[in-house]
Amino acid sequence: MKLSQLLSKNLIQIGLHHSDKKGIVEELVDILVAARKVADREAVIVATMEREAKGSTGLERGVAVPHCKTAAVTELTCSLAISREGIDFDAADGKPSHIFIFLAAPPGMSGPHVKALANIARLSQNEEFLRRLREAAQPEEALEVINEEEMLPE
Amino acid sequence: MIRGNGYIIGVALFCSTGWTMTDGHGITTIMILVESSEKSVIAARYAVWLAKTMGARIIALYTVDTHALEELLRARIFVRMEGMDYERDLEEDAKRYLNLVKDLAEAKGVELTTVLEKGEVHSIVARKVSELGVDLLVMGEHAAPRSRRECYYDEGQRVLCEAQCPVLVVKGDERIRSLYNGIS
Repeated sequence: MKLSQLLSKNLIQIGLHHSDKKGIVEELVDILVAARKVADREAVIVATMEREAKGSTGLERGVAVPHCKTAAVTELTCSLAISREGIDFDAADGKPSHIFIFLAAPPGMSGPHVKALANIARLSQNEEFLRRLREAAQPEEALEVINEEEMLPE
Repeated sequence: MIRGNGYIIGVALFCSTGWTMTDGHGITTIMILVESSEKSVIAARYAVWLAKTMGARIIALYTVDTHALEELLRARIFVRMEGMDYERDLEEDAKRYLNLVKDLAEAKGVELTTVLEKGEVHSIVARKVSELGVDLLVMGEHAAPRSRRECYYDEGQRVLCEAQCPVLVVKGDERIRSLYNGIS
């Protein structure tokens, strides 16, 4: 499952208001709430924070992939937020995170969830792609960068 | 050529003695690549129809993609306990779909053996095709790849590219339901 299939411009936010992990997760979930993709906001936040408590999803290269499995969504659901300044998300390399990709999946959808996360893991290796995504000024631009990357013939 | 709602890579002919591959070896063993998707179930219905028509047996293979889980552990997106939890979920899902496909075959009196494996999907399929002497691999429709990179990473595409036997990709739905329901 590709990121470009999961995202639309209303699921992308440029800039974040919070600088703590819970606040960032809340903002990512609120993008989904606004898009009417989440039935129970609190349940999604709790499930995500419980997952973060087991180990931070802050990866290297400024990417964080908070995620959860919850009955509060009915399908695999994704939101994206970008912070130019970078925020501490307990990343593996100790550096600030700039790109936050949030995924929530209902129970029984582990297959697509794993595929989507594996795709994000691969995209997260590409420094040029991450640089372009980090510099996107508008949701449309971010979506275009993702579309181009996922369609790029190699 | 086989007619129906699919396309086949490789060649099969129907002659007076039955369905035959171009190497003169009859189609006796069909493998269905089972996944957790409706398209995979549609492919299974078509495979049952083919097996009934050809007098072949079916092997239904589901591979739990533990390679992807390992990739997520390496990337630190998953913690170990979480990976194990997802692996259990995927295995349960695999069993559910294999049972569903088995019921579809048994309802039409077609012999079907289920095989559940774990690992890298395309590698397992290639190994099983060789080990089990599969004449025809049947799989559900996948979205067309949008890039060569996708051809490389999408397990369905890799199966299609790397299988060492003819591959039938099943398309359509209503026509296949009708074929399946028409089997006595």
